[in-house]
Amino acid sequence: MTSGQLIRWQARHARRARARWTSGGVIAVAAGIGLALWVAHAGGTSETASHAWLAGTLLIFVVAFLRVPFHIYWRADAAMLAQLPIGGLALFDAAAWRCARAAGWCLLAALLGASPFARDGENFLRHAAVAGAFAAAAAGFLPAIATWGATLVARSASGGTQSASLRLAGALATASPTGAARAATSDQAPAPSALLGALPGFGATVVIVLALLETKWLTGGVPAASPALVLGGLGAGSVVAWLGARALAPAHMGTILRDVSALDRQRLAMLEIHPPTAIERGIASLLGAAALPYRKDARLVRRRYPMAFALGALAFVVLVAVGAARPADPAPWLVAVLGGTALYAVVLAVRLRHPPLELPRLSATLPIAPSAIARAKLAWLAAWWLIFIGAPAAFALARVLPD
Amino acid sequence: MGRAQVTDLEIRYGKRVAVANLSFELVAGEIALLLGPNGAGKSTTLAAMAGAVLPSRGKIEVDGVDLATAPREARGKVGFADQPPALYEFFTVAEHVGFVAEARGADASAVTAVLAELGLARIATRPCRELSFGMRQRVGLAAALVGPVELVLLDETLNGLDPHASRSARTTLRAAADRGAAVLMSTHLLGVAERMCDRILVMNKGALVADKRGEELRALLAKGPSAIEDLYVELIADEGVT
Repeated sequence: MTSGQLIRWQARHARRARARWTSGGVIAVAAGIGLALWVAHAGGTSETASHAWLAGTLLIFVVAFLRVPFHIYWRADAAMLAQLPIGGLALFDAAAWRCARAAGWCLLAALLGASPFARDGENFLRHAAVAGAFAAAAAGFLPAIATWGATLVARSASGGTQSASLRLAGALATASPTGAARAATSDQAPAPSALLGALPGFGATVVIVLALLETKWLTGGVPAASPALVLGGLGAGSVVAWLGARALAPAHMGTILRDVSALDRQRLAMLEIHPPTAIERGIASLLGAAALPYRKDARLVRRRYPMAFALGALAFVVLVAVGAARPADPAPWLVAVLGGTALYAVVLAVRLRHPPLELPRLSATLPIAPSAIARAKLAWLAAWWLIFIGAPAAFALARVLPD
Repeated sequence: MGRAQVTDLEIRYGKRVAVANLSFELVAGEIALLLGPNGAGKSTTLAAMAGAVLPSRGKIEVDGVDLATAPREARGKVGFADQPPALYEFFTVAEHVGFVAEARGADASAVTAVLAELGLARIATRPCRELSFGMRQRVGLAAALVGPVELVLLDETLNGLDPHASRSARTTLRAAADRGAAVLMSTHLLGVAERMCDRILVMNKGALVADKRGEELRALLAKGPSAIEDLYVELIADEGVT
């Protein structure tokens, strides 16, 4: 099967699986218009407006960055693809196509969001350059990082050995300089499953930090580093990394899909018997008749939607950072994080009511009141929001609001 | 020709050993039944032979090709119907089987043939997400059989089939074996086992506890209609879920 054939099959399935209003294009245009309205409201070409645009654009691209591993190896159909004799290049190209399409939609949203800057051509181009660098990273750099990490894991799983590069990748993924220094001599390697999520996360952090170095340049100020070097380097580096990953793909992509899906299957078997966490037990003890459906939801969300915890942790870090740094203009960051997480909470609320988390036909046959099921879901959402958003937001607001 | 060799296979889920020191060989044209209580390691063994679960130790070869070192070549020879069957929910039946066929290098005529053999032609245009349990089993079986498959692995795929579908499935599997494929299927339907098998493998607690074929199997079946059930009860103590 060629790359083109596989992409056509997958595009057809993806098209049918989505409702028209949830297609990437519709969401991108809606997000772009929303961002543009916010930027215009913040003052058109002012520094505040630029910060608002950057915060919104970061939010949009972070979702694309975090979804890269789900395009490459944590795919719903990974186990099935792993059983079929499809070449590594076709598998990589199909995954790369999904990453590139997501990056394209994000770029469209960011450019629409920057439209209020269009009155000043140079200003618009500066914002477009940053958006372009983000898109290049989402389509090239991060897929390459994810593929590299998965290649190490697959080699390790197949050979049963823990290479020095795997240990180094683990140290990088946890952003530990001392770990990186010890990597060459240590015998301890990270858990493969953790590495698969953490390494792309580390790559995304690098991209975001590099882009933040150009914040002042966006409004005509002197940046912390040369834009040509940082943004040009990010773009060129993404192309080179992508080509490198594509060169690795024929030999490794099939093994990656097989080994990662196998690891996931085996990890899932162990996760299913994990007990509830102390927080979950504490909340359940307050819920009465809703405790049982709450415990079920809590366990299933942890396994099925790890993105809820990744995004929640990211929002937590950003809010704590805003509170600690007390920037002169915290509004764009607070609005972006609170708005973004509010939208995600709506998505989670919908997911909590549908399979595989909720099985209406089974629930209808059990002696559990519908109100208890609804209360369990509300409790889960409230706890998620309070821990990841509410508490750090209160800290940030207490620090940035005038006395 | 279909042949599979499993050597010293061990599979762990964390600290739990699901399969231990498992070795057996399947030959071309053979339909082998894999029996055993729930949790015996049957599904894990089948998934490992299909490349969906990583062995901790041991070797799996399909027609002389090592699944670990040449996975793509080996996968091209294996058809696997998982439990529950992995289907693209938003494809029609014909599209789903067509996708698998194209991946195995087979053309549209192979899809038409397997759908006709299994009585699926009349639902070929229905989306997979609308199918009943039995229909999904049949589509999973069709996907496992389509194309140049030399080793067919079925995980309780005959469960939930109506008598007509069960008969056509047995006929199709026998035809596949007659073409030279090896078939290994797990099931708890001992009546079906008696009617179609050339060999019986019994697993318990991750290990192979019985392997009957040829004269030995014929002698066993000659004892009467409940011979396999009697053997099963004799070999495996009733401990509930192991």
